[in-house]
Amino acid sequence: MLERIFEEKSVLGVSVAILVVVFTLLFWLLKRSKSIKKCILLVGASNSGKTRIFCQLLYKKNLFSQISIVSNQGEALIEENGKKKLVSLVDIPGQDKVRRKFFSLHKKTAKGLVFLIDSSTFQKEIKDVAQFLFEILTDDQLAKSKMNLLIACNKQDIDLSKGQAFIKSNLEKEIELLRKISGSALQSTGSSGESKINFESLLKNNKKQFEFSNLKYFNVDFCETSCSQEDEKLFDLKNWLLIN
Amino acid sequence: MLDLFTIFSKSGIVLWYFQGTSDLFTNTVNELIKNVILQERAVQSVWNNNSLSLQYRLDNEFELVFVVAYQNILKLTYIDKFLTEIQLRFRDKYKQAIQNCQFANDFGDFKQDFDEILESCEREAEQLAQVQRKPRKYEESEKSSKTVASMIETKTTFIGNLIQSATGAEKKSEEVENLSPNLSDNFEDKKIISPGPRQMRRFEPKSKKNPASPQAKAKGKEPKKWVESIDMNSLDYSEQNKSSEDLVNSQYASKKDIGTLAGSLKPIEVDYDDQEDLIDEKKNKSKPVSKQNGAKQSGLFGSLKNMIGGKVMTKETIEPIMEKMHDHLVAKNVAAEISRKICENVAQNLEGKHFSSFQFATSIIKQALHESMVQILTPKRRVDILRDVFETQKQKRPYVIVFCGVNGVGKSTNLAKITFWLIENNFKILIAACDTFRSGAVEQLKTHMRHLNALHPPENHAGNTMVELFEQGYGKDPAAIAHDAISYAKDMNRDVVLVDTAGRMQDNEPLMKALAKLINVNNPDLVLFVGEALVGNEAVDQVTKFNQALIDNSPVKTTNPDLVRTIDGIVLTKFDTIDDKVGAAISMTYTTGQPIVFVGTGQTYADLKSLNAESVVKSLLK
Repeated sequence: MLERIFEEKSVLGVSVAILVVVFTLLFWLLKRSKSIKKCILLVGASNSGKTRIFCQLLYKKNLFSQISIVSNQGEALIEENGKKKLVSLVDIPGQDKVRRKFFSLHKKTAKGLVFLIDSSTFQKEIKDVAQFLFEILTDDQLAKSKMNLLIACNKQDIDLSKGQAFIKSNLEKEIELLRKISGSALQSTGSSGESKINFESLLKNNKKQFEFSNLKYFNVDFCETSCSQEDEKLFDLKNWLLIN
Repeated sequence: MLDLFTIFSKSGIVLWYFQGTSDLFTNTVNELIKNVILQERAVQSVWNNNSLSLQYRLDNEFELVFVVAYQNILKLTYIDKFLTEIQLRFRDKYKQAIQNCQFANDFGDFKQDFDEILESCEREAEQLAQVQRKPRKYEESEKSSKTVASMIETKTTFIGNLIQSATGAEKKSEEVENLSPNLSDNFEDKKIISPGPRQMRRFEPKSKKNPASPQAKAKGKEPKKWVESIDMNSLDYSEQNKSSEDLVNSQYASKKDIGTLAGSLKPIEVDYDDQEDLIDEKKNKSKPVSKQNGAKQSGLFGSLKNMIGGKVMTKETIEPIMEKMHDHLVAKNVAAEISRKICENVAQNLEGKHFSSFQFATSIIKQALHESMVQILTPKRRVDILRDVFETQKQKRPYVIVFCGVNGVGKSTNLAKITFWLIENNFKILIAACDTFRSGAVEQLKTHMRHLNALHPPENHAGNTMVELFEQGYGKDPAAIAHDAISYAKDMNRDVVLVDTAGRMQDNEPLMKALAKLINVNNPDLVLFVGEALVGNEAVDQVTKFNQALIDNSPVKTTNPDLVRTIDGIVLTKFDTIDDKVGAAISMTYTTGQPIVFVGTGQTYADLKSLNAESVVKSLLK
């Protein structure tokens, strides 16, 4: 009976074509689902310790690091308190010249962000750090869905480094100021497609001063980390990675 | 003899290093990366930092960087060869590990290879030096091959040789051909060059000078009449008889501009002709257009890429395409030298890279060039003047900006535009009229001040006059005027001081000294170089000479080289006149390494934008 149906050459041709289309669709869906939203991005200003932490998590070794020109990608096996998980990490270079390029390259596949801050030079670099954080918070692609953000105050092993409470309150004041500056500007689009959203639309409550808990699309946590050999303090970071 | 040798991945992980001294090498190598590799100047082979010379090699296939550092005074000649051999040896030995990104591997046993190669290179270099140091034997010299008769010198041959030795030693070959006929003319005529006519005049009695008729002088010059009826009063800007009525007639300050510039500046959009394409990829007509962002080449082709073998970028594939790109950039008004350097840098970054057979070399090179130029135009530090002004407000001092540049680029006009932008953001401005040379400069600024105050009257800003002008007429020392202006601003709580200087050519040494003095005495927060977008190759010369003059005339040049003030930012003006030939932006940014802070797009107050790197580069490569 099947032979009779397939005697007609056109039926054969059409069914083959449909099969090909179906296979292509399946293949494409498979590829797409693999690349969506599975990475944790390590971002931060230059010299905040991202590559060091990446090496520590991935290779369990403390390697020397220089300024990164390209991004680091890898799968790290995180173990803490008996729990294990394979996490896909991407280390975005922090230098102003290259970070926007790599950030826009990888932000589509990000399901969580770790923002590292150099706690020892925080007071001098607060404006640059706040500027970068503000750019991340106002990024339209990330604001489309809820994102988990961990702000890790790194280099806690250095004596003069600030604690997370100090850093949190100062960042909030800085971002409040940046909000005031950009507040009156209208939405503008660059031709690269990155449109900056009005910051007011990203807050739950527009009347108050800026607080991290007031953000609609970001779930912000703070922690302290250090990856020096004598005083390693990565369990907060690892716990967060295990949960998210 | 080497101070340092290190191998690290482009992603920042150090794989192996050798330290000859006890200093930490991280900072030195970081400086190299920041100033050379990230600034797209990787073509130069040696970079000097304090007393160290650094040479480096980039491996594009495995994304590695090899850096050698040694003392400046040593002048080692074998470094090139050494780097090449080390690169090959390292790659062959650890190919597997690098490909799989196993950076945590122990590369310690590389030390033996390193020592071996270093020793062999040093030995070869020494042998070569020995050969060169030995004096030549008589048989090897030129004299032994000549005959005696040819060596007898007459007068003409002697002079000819003199000319050749004098000109050939110093100048290039083309100029020798031009110069020697002139010189030989002088010599052969054997004229004693008389003291020039100027010197002769010195001895003439003064009474010989110009017996002009006194009657002619009394008559004076009659003003030429172009139009019959001119109201001289309307042309007189020196009196205070202007009111806000002139705003109605002024085409430059219209009320609809108020409120348009609040907040950060909007980025610029460049219009370009969409129909023309750069390089006609005939094969590409039937296939879908290659996407700009390389990462988007996923999907079917991306996964198949790994299955099918790929091609390697070689010099032969890159060169012809690079020639075309170079010509294209020059046609778009990028300075020729800069265009060449950029193309060489991109070629160096691409050599050895693998790409799939589905991709065309042209599109990869175009993509790499696009990324490289966006990187050049992206600022290397945060540029946010509004935030910085808030900071100095807290410190109870004014934020000082100095505008410098050659004549006629638009300093005063763009100063007025920036004033407008700042008062839209509620800052009180003081304009310091330090152009004490050009006639009408102070009156020009006065007019701007009146227009701006009419657009933002004190009633709208809690009784504060938003713009004030600090001037002391013409002919005075600009540095002193600036100094007084800043103290006045501090006393009167003005937020920003904008200092307008006179236009000056970059070759004019006394004027450049005066500018350096103004900057060093007053230590402004921002030194902006104003350049017009119309300029071509001249841009490189202007910016280099301005920068060099500021460095040379700095009092802390030798004691504290980090504190020398140079150009901090660029204002690109007359952007509306160039359509899509936006190459001047690249030339200026590449030469100084400083960001473009403002872009001027017209002559009204609202014509001020910020730079959009992507848009500019897109139109450059179209």
